[in-house]
Amino acid sequence: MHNHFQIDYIAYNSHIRNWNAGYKLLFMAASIITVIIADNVLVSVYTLVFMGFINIFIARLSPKEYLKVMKIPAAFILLGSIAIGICFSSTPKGIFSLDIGFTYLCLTKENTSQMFSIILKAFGAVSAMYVVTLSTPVCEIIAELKKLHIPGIFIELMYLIYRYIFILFDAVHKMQDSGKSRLGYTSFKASCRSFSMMLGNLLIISLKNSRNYYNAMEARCYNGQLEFYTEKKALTRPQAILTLIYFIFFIIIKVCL
Amino acid sequence: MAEENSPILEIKDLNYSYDNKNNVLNNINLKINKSEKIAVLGSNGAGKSTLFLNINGVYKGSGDIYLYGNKITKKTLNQLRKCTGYVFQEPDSQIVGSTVFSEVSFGLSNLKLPANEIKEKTTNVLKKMGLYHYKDRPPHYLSGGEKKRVATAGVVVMQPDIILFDEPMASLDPGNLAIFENILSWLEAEGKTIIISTHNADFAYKWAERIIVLNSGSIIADDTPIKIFTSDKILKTANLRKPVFLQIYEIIKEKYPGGGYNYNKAPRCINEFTEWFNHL
Amino acid sequence: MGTGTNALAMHIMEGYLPPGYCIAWGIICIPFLVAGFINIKKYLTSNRRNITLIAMSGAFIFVISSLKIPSLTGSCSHMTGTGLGAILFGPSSVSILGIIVLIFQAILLAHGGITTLGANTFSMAIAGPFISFGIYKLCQKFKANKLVSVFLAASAGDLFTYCITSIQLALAHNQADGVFAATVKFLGVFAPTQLPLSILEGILTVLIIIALETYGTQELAEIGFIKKEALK
Repeated sequence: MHNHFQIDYIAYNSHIRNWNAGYKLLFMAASIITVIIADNVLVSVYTLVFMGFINIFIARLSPKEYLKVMKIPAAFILLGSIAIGICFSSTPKGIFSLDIGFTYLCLTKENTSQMFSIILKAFGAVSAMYVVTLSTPVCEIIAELKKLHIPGIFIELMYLIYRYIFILFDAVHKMQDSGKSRLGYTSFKASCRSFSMMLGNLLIISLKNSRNYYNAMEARCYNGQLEFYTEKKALTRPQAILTLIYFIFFIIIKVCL
Repeated sequence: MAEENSPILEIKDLNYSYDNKNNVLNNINLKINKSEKIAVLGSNGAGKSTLFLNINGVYKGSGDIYLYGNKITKKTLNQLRKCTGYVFQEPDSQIVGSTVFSEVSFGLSNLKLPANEIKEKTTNVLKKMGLYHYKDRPPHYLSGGEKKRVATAGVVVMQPDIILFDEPMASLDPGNLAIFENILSWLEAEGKTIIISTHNADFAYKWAERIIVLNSGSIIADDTPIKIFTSDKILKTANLRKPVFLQIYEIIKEKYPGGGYNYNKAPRCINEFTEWFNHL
Repeated sequence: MGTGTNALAMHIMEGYLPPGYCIAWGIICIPFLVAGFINIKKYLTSNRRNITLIAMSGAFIFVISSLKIPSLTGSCSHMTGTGLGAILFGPSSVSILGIIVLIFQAILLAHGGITTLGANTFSMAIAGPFISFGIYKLCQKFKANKLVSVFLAASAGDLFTYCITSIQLALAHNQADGVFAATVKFLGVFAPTQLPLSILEGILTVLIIIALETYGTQELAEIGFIKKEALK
């Protein structure tokens, strides 16, 4: 379970968990927008380094763990970048060409630099997103969304779905273990069958239980409006200064280049 | 305020069914008084949980419920829910909050109490129940025993007069069991009425002052533990087992006949048994 | 397990789309989301107790779309769950549940992102489910075998999601040789994983529907979850 939800687990233990959540979200949004609007390799690299610094030295995430979570989007970024890097051409051109019969697949200098620019931009933006997701429990993020006047039902569904995800995964692990102990996953065919039976079963059980979950909420005076107590977290000067530093250097980079 | 002797809660002619065909509860009449220790016994499907949900005001059957002499209506339903707390058997079906603190304070938030009051009450209960250092943790990374304690805290914090426990000891390890019994005695000392549904005859015999036996949705007995467990008819109908200490008591009584046996003084736990046996 | 380094999902990553595209896809989603919201609200007005049922369905979609599925090659891939969701819950409710699931996948699993949420919502929570549902209804109209309909609906939903994602990427990144060629390229690079996956998704969805039927259509209907005729 910890492995599947390593980001969630890290968030609860982060050293900057006590930072003001709304501030963190704003900072994240501003820096991601900056990265994608700037569309500049230096800004991307700068953001990647800056956010890495926050995550490793201020939020105190071990570099090993940080590398592990940074690798999650790697597969998509790799495949997506190949498609951007190569181009079709009727004649060989660029650094490298491959004849596939009706056309040539070429790798040009221009395209490769574009590919690297997008890879860096994506990693820069992801590292900014991690400043929030690796330090802010989901319930605090939802509480901030609530302030944006998103409809109550939507917020309520988010709270409940987040909670139920863990209940369901708990059940999945138990059912998969019991399936394995009865040799349900020994071949591909058996795996498919066990996997589907498990999910069918899971849906029925959990929908039945969901009735009971409503009873339990009502038993504690729930009246159709989900309310949670949230601790107000102060926005301190060091937190604010961080944003200032980020944008000062951003402007310097922009002006100098 | 109500008089000293009047019951906190009175149930009159309660019937309940899920499908309007088969009654799950039949003609329940019940008075629950202040500071009582009640065990509810009955086999699976006897209607214990359904009865609890009715007492709690989540289910509404036919018949009336009176709280401190006032009939409960749709308008006063929340008073009933506030006055009676229900700790569910499965903590996972009860826990909604994403941190221990927000979970325990959930009921208080629903009552729309001011923030500082919520914080104060919740902090107190968390400290009393040894959960304070978990306050910022999410329930999904807690162990089963800890989850159970969090679920209990979420009910206790609302300061209900009556607390209903559904199978509280199922799947607790000895350590957590001891913690639970501590919490029970603390709640008893506060004068709470405690109702526990259980399959554990030994526990009911030892702990309860009053036992209600449910069978197929009807109350077939409502008496002191000793009267219930010495009635073969009740034990047979409801398929209950006689408590071990009572069985031992009867074996000794049969083997060494003579005076001095009094069912009302029969030992109910190991300490009482040792003392009684030494004086035999 | 799910967050392995080779998690092959069709989520467009954070930072991958220019700002204009992020906003445009978001706007395109709005009418569908509003329709889904109205639908869910209606369901809740009829009985407020359904909120936990709807939330549980959403959590279920999250689980099926982030569980590692059985694989022949040992690679780590996931179902999209769009077909199953659309058949069980209807496409417009799935749009709302889908966007919540996508937010959580971005936050909890780092699949997808915040600025790309609009684009991902359109491909995975709107386009896929609507095609699945449409094909399922069409098959019903022509009285096709039910399991065949489920297979076609689920596979097509998956394929369509993959096509839409490729087009979305191609629209944003086509400086080299135009939108059409770019689409072909994106379709090409994702094909080796996505084509087998869509067939597997179809098979698994059929098996799940069979399991649901053997275990308890009756029970699902009793708790008011599906209309009795929905799976017939």
